[in-house]
Amino acid sequence: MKINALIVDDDQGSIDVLTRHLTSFPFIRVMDIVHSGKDAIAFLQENEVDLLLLDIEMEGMTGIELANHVQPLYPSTSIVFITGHAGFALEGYESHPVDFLTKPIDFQRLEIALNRVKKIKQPSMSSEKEQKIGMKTTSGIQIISINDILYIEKKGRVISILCRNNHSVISSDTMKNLEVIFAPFEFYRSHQSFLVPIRQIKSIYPDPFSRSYSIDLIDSDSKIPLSRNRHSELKGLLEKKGIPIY
Amino acid sequence: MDWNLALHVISILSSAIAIYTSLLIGFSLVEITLAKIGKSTMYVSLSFGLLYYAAQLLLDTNLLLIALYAALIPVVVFILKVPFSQTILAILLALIYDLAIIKLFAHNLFDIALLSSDVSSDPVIQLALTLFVMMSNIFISLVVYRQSPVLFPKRWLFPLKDGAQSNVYKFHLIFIVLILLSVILFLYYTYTELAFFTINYRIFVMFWTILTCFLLLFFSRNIVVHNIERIQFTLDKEYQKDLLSFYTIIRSQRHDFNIHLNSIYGLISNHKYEESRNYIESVVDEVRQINALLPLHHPAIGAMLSTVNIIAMQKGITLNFHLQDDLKDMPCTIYEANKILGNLINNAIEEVEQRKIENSVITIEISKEHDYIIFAITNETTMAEQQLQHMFDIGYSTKSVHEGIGLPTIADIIAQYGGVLFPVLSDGEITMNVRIPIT
Repeated sequence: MKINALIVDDDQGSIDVLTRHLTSFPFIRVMDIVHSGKDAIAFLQENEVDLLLLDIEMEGMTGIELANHVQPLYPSTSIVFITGHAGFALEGYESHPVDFLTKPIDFQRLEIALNRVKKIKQPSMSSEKEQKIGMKTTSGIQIISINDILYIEKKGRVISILCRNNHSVISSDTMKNLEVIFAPFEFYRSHQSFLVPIRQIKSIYPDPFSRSYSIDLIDSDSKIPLSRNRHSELKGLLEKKGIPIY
Repeated sequence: MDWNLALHVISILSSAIAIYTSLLIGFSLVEITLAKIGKSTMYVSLSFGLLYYAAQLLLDTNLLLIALYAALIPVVVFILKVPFSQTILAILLALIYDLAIIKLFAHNLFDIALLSSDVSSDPVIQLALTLFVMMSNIFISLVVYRQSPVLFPKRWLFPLKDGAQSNVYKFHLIFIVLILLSVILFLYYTYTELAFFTINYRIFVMFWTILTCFLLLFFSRNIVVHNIERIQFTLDKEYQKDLLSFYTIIRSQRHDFNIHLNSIYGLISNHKYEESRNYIESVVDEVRQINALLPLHHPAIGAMLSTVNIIAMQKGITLNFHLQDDLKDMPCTIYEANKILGNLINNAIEEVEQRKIENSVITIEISKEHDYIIFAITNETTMAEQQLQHMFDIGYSTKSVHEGIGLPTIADIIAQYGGVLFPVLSDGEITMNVRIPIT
């Protein structure tokens, strides 16, 4: 599946540079090139666009105005700003673009930006690299493969990171720090003393005795408690990832 | 008999509360978070109050008070886990409070009142005195707990481990400890000899002491604050060099416009299209480097990154800046941010250089995500996993000529702001991740 892109720019020079660069990315299909915000809105009403390559300084409607208008209407459309003015970056960050490129466009930066778009649009296509993380322990830094982590548990004062093959590591960090560290790897703090990787969650069910919830893991028999007040938050998170919970 | 028993119990409680209040004030003045250690301080004070009372029954000497506070030092360091320099200052300040306010003010005031009205001391009056002191202490500790006044900020007590600067800090710290010690010496001697002074002199000494104590404490505080400002100033000066060269590059780029235009016009007029293309590419490349860094809110950070970029280029290493945030909301100082970024990038450059990885690219990402400022510095590596084990230890380095001081220092800075620093390895690349919460 290709990513359908629309270029919005009123400067033919930069359009030429951009289209030339874009030929090197086979997964991008340039649907059309429009020269103003109005034309872009008209085009969006007719067609489904995955990616807007948006110039900021345009006659009439600016790129930022266009982005603010488009975002609530087409939330699935990713935006990459392209600007000649580095200063515009300030305002641009507010409308949550995937990336921000400055003219003249750098090929490598464009590649990074487009790969990000690709990762958002086709999460399964981008190959998952094996990532290993360095964890602070009492005997220095220990390297753990993130995919191996089943869950993190705090028992008394000891925080252990439980991995596959009954391997575990005692962390010397705090639970709060671990939550911050693992947040980008999609770990969830299900309980004051538990952190679970979201991809390990098999099922969530209510616990009749404690009037709270429990989580079953895919690769472990342990049941992880889920605080009552976090249940709806986790539910929302999972739904965002396309996993409905009832 | 009953009165006596009650008096004993109340006395123990009173001395425990006195110790607790003194410690709270001492801790608060050196900026220790009271909420964190308030409870354990209470247990420590209770046991020390008991000990103090028991010791008083055995030995009748004022030296006990000094011994008590001396004994508190190791307890605070090892049980409450307060760093040593903070402990020393906190204990000295606590002792000053105990001597000046509790012993020389509250007790003395009561004594003078008794003496001048010719009432002889009996257990009931003793009890009233103890209760009065106890109540005022409880009141003061409540106020301190709520307000947590600070005299010597933590930032001053824990300077960045910077070599040259830390000696200046150390000197001032010792100086202040000496001032506090001499104040204590005076207070202690006055307290022991108090009974032999005339009443008028006692009243005078009481007020004069308190005034002098306050003056001395605020004087030392001013020295400290001044010191912090001065050091900040010298640091700013260091940046001016970076900033100047950054601005010079920007200015000359704008200034060179005519020259570039002329050259390109010349090349095109002569139909040297390939040459003109190459020429433009080289100019564009130069402009791009600066443009990438211009969005940053603090020019000093951009300046530092541009300097590092030039150094890297000379070594044949490409730095890829990926700025998703302008660091406007960054909680740490610019100096600290530069220290973190500069150290991490330098480490990456040195590692790539040492491992002789050709045409290497180092990616520097600066972004903001869910109220966290994120730095991620990625470089290629051939480092084995075991080598990572001691990367945060002071004195450890994989580099042949390096003192290994970078990472522990920046880990300290990051921890101060409640942030985290951790390495991620993937596919022959190592990324140093920094996440600092925006407060």
